[in-house]
Amino acid sequence: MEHTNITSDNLEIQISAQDVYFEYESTDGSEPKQVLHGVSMDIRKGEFVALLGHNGSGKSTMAKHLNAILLPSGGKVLVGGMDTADDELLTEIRRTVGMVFQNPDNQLVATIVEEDVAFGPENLGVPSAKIRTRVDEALKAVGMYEYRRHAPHKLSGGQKQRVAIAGIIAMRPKCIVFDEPTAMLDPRGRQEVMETIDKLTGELGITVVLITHYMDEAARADRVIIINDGSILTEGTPKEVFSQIDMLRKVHLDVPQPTELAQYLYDMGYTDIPRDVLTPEECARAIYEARQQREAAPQQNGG
Amino acid sequence: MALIETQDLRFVYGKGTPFEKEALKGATLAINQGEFIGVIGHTGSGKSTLVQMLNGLLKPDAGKVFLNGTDIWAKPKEIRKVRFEVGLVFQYPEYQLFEETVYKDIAFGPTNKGITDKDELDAIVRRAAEFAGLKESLLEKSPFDLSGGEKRRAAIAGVIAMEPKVLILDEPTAGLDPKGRDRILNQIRKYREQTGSTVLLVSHSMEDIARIADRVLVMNHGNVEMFDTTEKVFQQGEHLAEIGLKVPQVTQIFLELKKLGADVDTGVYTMEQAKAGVLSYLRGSETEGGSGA
Repeated sequence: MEHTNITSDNLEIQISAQDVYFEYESTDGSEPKQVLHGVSMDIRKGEFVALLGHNGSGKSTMAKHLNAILLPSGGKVLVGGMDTADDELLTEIRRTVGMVFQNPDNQLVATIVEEDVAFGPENLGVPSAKIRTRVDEALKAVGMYEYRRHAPHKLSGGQKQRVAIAGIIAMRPKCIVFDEPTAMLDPRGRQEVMETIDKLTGELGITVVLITHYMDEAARADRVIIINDGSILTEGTPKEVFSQIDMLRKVHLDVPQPTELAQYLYDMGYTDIPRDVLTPEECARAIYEARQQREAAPQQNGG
Repeated sequence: MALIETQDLRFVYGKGTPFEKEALKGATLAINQGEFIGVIGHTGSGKSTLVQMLNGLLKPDAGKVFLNGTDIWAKPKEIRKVRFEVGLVFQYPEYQLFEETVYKDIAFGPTNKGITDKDELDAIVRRAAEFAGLKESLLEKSPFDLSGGEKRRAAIAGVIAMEPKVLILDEPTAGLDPKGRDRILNQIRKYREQTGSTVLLVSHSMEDIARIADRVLVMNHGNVEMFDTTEKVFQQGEHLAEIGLKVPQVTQIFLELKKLGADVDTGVYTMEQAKAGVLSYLRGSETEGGSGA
């Protein structure tokens, strides 16, 4: 980490939302609908941030501000220092932050996988010699290279979504925003997409913002932000946030089952079981160890 | 006698084209009146093809479907009657909404069923809309102006309005948030309690299936892979993983415990069972210490 001067610290920030307000104009003359009430967040380079909240909380509206699909009615959003309200910078902003949506069928445009992936860079005016390399690299990164000559509509949901991701990677963005990319997929498809996202944040160093309703997906993030009624309710590491199960219930989010079980056991007097376990593996290990300890020293426990 | 029975159902998509795909390879099963069946299987496993055959939307290439002991294709001209008795809510509600207003869309089924009295029809439409959690104010809107969740509710209302004896829902909660999901699942449960109907729920969420189903039908590569009680199916964690499925997270915890060497019963699939199971495991060693945690 560089802490030597202020400039290098600033460079670490990929996207900065500053006191963002947003309202939808009404079509029937009634009051405009307030969706965001002063949201501020900094997303650092290479960070993996999960954005949670129920439908209508404002999380998707917030996400659409991150690459200038929507512009704030108050406050501002800076992408790598560029103000999203500046028309002149629109292309550069979209090149920096790509977006992947819920339904892959609406994102694929060509009849052959590799043509689909080439569509983005072609639009950016990348020279054709370079496009070939970019497309191949992107398809390899998502594990779809061997399908490059296939028809997208014949692929499984998870495969289609990976092709959509490849199309974004080929534009070499610094950040990708995923708006519920696994909502329409089966368990295998979900796993494929999540493994791809892990690869983006790991090997490729791409900043990721993931909107999801699945707690096990959000648990993989570095940081979780919960949006409720157009404001940030809380944020922290997945362990910090998901251990607050009463708060999660209050805002109608799911409680991870391992966390719920661990807290029940803690409340039942098994205080050596951590309240913030997240995964089934962690939970099983904590339970197993609690029992082992009691076997080793039965007279000292639980009494 | 079972309410629904299928014998050796087979179906091939795109027959005679290069895209030919065998979607069902001989599915035989029986479902009783009033059962709540969970249907799972990865994309392309044949589950959507199967449920579309149960209400006569697809005609099998071979094999038979019996409803109340009658072959539904015995009189092909009367296949529409089957669709009133077996209601199907599609995975993508967009595919089944087509009228100019939500109201007309919901009224379509009952009208075709022969309900002509305007007041009676109105009552049915409003009851169905309320049941599906659709606001009155949306009834005069175009179905295409609705949000994703509202469209799904409109599609459910349209099927409920026919008061089918068998209600089949293909991924009714996909893409909804936890609150919307819980609301729809509760309404489905209520419909079944109030009417004694049989329900088939197709879902990718093992947690939802675990909470709600009596029996689970597992489809794989066009075959019935398993069809058993929810408990017995989720005991087969490794088998489910092999065919691209998962078990609920609480079940995973017990499978992990077993892997670590703990002597636990892995037939656990709800939170309540898990709490009881873990407590008894932890207390197992405490009898000597005499401690009640």
